[in-house]
Amino acid sequence: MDDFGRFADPALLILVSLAGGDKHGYAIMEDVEAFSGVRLGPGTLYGALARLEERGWIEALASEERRRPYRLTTTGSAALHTQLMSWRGISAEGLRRLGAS
Amino acid sequence: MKRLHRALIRLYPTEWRVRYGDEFAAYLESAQPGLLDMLDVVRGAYDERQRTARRERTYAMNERTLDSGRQPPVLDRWRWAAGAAMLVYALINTLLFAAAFFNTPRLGEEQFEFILMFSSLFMLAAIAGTLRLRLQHQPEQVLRGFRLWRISLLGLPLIIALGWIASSLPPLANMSILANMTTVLFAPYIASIAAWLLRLTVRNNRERFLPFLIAFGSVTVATFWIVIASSFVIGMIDRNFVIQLGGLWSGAIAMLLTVGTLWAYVFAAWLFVGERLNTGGAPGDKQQPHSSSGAVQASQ
Repeated sequence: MDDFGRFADPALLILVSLAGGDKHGYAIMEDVEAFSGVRLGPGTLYGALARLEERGWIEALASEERRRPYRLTTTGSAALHTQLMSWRGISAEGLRRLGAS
Repeated sequence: MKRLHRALIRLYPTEWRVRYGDEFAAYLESAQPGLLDMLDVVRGAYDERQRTARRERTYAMNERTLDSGRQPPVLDRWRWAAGAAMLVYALINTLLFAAAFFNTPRLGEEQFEFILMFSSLFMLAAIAGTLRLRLQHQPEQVLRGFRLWRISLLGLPLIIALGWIASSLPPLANMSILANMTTVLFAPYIASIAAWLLRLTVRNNRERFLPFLIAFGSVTVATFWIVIASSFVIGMIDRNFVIQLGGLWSGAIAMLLTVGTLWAYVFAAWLFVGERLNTGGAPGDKQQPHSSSGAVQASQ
């Protein structure tokens, strides 16, 4: 996810959101705000969605009226897992060091 | 509000709008974006345009790489360096042009502004268009595809206007006009030659030399004229000296441009005749500058 630039963190939040089920753009934005407190702007949200879709980590489903839901792909799920495990390791190490000091 | 949303979506590149435009519009209607959200959309559109441009550059570079068998990594830097050099020259030339006209009492300010604006815009547009559209192709294709009559026809009114004005001006101003006239008319050919030199340089693996030369030349020329202008402002040199220097400069540039242009015409004629002899028909835009096989291979 390093080459996502400023869209790396929003992309991770979107993947986490979609891990809980298929959602369209507005629902993703609400969900992300609910579980992380981060409000994704429209340009950021769709910039990250475009990059994730191009990478093949999410896929668009058939449109419902004008809204188009997105789904996490198997590749995306694996990438999210890898990323979260990496973060878990960093988090555990950080907490251990804080406890030690 | 919908009109504003549509305007915001139009900031995105076409390719993106085709894919996401409809659902993005629906999103904006649901989200009722505030000012910060709108700024975020503008920034997102900018990012998307950058991404599209990067993709196109990569695509074009892949084509060139497959054509030449090796990758020219400095091509973009080259283009910027050449563009910057042209811009420096255009600005300096415009200033000299202005100086020459301001010293001619029989020329009205409105006439001067019109001629100056027309000349500068034409020259810059010609250079920018040529560099942008032609740089990626072979020089033969550049010259073969170029319409010799088009630029000459467009420049004809300018020649007449400048000729009429030049008849009432002092010799130094005439030299400046000659330089501008030559530049305006023949800038595309000069840019084509620059593109050709660029390709030769890249092929010969001397990537670092010519960009450096152009950058160094631009900075040197700009510094020289800044020193002259500063000296004039603080009163170390008088106006006539600046004008004389400008006239000499413009005359030298005009000579260089003329030689380059003659060369370009000869080269174009040679290509034209060669094409006729080989195919029995006139060369034109029907020929594709590159086969599409490069793109196909690149994507495989």
